[in-house]
Amino acid sequence: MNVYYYPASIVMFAALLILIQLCFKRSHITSYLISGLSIFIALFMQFVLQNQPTSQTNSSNVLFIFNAQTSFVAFLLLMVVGLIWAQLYNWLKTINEQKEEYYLLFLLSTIGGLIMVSSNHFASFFLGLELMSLSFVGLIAYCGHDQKAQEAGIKYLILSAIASAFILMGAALLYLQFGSLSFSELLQNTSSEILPPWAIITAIIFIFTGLFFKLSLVPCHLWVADLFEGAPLVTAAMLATLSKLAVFIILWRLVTLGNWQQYQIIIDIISIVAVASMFIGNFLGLLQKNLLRLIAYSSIAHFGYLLIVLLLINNNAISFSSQSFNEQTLFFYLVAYLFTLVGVFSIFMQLPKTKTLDDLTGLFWHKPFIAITLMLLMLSLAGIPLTLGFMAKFYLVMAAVSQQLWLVLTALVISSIIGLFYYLRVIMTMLKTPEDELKFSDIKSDGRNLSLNILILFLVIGFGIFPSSLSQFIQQVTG
Amino acid sequence: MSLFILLSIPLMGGVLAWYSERFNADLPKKIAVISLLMCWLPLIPLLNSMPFDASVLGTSQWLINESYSWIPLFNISAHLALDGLSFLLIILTLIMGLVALSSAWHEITKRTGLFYLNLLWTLAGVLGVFLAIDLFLFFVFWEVMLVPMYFLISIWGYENRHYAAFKFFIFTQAGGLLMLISLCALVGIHYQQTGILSFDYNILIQNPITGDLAFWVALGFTIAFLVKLPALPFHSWLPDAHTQAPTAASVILAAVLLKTGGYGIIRFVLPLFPEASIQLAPFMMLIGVIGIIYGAMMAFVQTDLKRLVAYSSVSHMGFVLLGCFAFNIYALQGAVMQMLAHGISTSALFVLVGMIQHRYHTRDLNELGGLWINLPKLSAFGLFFGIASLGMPGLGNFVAEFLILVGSFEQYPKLTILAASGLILAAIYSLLLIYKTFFGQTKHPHESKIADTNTKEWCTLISMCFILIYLGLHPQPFFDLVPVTLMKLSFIPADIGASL
Repeated sequence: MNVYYYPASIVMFAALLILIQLCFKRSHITSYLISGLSIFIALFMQFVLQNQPTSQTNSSNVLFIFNAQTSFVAFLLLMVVGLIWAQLYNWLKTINEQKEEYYLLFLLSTIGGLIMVSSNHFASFFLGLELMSLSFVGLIAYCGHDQKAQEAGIKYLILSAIASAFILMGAALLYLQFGSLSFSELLQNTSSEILPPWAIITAIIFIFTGLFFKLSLVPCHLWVADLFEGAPLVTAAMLATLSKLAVFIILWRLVTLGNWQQYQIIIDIISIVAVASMFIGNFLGLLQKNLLRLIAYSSIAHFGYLLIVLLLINNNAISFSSQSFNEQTLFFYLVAYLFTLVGVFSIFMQLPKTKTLDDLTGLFWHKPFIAITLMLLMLSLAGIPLTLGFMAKFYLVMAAVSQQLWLVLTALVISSIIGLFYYLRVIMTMLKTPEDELKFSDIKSDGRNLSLNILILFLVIGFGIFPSSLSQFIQQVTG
Repeated sequence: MSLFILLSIPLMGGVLAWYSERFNADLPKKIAVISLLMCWLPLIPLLNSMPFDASVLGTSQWLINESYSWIPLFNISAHLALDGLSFLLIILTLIMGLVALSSAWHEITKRTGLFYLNLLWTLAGVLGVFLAIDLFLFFVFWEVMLVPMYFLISIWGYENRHYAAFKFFIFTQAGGLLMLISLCALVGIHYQQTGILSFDYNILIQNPITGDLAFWVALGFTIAFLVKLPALPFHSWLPDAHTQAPTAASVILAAVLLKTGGYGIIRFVLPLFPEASIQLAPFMMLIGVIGIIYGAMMAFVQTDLKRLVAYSSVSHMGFVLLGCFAFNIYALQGAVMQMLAHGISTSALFVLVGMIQHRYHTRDLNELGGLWINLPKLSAFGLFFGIASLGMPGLGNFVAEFLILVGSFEQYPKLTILAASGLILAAIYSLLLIYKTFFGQTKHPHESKIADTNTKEWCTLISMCFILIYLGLHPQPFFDLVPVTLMKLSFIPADIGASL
């Protein structure tokens, strides 16, 4: 077995172990430790693999592809999962359900993500997608007595089934043309025209529909706010980070490997979706009172920004934006956004009673450290300099300017300013004088939370001020 | 290293001030004063050798030049450098920082530690803006100085503070994003044309970009600076921000934050886009003139003292814009002088308004009046700075406005005549301010026990008076400090010569 399979296998092994453990004795702490241990061993292995010379097994029919980029993405994914895991124990103690199965589903969805990010074949991609989506249904509807969670679970189940159906239909059409389900053969047999171009474009649009649903980009975004609000907090964090990361990597791989930008209409669709997502996401967030809905809308907008990366290919107007620079942009943006978002979610987990914006009133004067962390994270989401979010935006603007995508850039500027409104509102609410002095007295600020916040700040602000080590690392990865 | 030390002193002083609050609520302001005074230390070697010896400036533009690699991928360096122009503005920043501290001394009683943290960090940001020569670093400082300012307005401001802080931040951020894109476009086009990827001002300036896009890039930069200046269509954040900000923040805002806009135009727009800025000039002159007249007329109808002074700022900064785009050495020197003189006279007015509000708890012109009876010293200062603001000969403002008008008359006689009417309008609103506040019927006859200026206030104000008088009577050293020929502003006719 290829050494690259180890990290996912370890996580899978841990999932099985928890399953066996459930047959004998339920123990919350054991499941917590098993899952954590597996994630960190996998993380460590992935880190070791990162530095290994890649074994080029690029024969066309393999299900998976392993190279520096996929290792990096898997590493990022495991890191995000690890950061979410760190909060899991305290959070699960507050709910009244059986706790151990949550870890099981948590690990299964992680495996799904790991499979997806290195898949090179529609079969493995689909397997990973379904493994992840079905575990998510369980994770979302985990609190059986919560009406909203049940509703969100059903919503996700039905919608993601439809999205999968679209992807399958698209894959089938592509199979008709290319005679293979492997991603790397999407480009090869174009000489023998079996289907007219519009059929291929239809296939691409089908696949896009499915993937855009998972990314909650604009025409398919209606579910995301309800889901974030209804689902348990940790699940929302997983949905916002893990699932979107994996799906976006697939989208990127499909578009680049199949060279889908050769069709003008696909470029147009991506541009329209990107611009619409930026605007609609930010507009919907504008007057939002519920914090999780606000984050949901902001994530729509952020993936709208990120879609610009897909427009960056093949017209080398200014040559410092090579293919490798586009990949660097993609990876840097993903790192920045995911770290920031995980930070936001872990702050929310430390404020268990905070649901709406008004609940944050005066947080700054009572729990300054938590409030400052949240403030800096909001500034990072808004893209203010000296945060990681700004560096990501800078990468994006550099890449987009070099390809002279003025229209999308204009949209980026205007929608960023709209977005600034609600990020500032969060900050402003925390600064207001609180009316209730005892409101935040129940927030625990133990050593674990404190160290986690410091870690998040280190990632978001440290790399924001001194991004060169991160950018060099990413440069190495993309080669 | 000295410039980096200069930047880090207020940053560290701010953190220290914040931390010291838990021991004693009075400690933060003392630490703030000490750290601001320590900021002068790195400048002492320069102060010794330079200001009155023009020969030091003759050789190269940069007096101090320090560079460290920061983000090698984009060839971005942490490059700070100091020339005469930035030297003047840094001196202004440090002096006005002390003035702001003096006005905050008794006004700020709540959350003092955090207040001085934000105040010092704003000053550090402004210093960074004046020193950064790498365009990326400049942009970072440009944006980052807004965040502590936002907190200053939003936490310690007056009744409508959240709205004002919001508006301030959004306006300037919008300008900033525009600048970010222009910045990237500038670097991209420069790379395309020369093959050098660099954000460094010294490299970019050697081969100014050409072509259609250059105009748009220049426009992007200019708009970002106009927002901060503020020029007419983008000025509406200023009255709100000034009115709601605490006095110390108003002082910083008027004295140095607005100057970053003018500094940006002189430092970046004119040399980096020589062709495009000539194309832009007529529009900018027009905007400047409209700003002068509009600001003066708006100032005239205000009843809120702070708003009146804020609109007079709009009017005065119109002169700066006029001077920058007149393409004439007199006008340019005048613009620099206007930035200094306006920084001092307007912030002195804000300090005075702050003192009045501290004593009478109102800034409404209709409720004030007859202050001279109770507060003769304060009123005398009010008279002085009001007259300075209308451009009385012998004070810095007159020199500045006169030079700007003389310089721009050569190319734009009609616009200059219109702009000159701003002087008359300035006389109207300044005299109105003086009359309604200090003379006339007293509205508070029974409150005779209100104290006049104390020693600290008196010292602050009198030193500002002397600076203005010095600027007005002996401006030559300041002109020598801004060696226009070294700033690669190639449009200046050679026969006029570098100094006046």
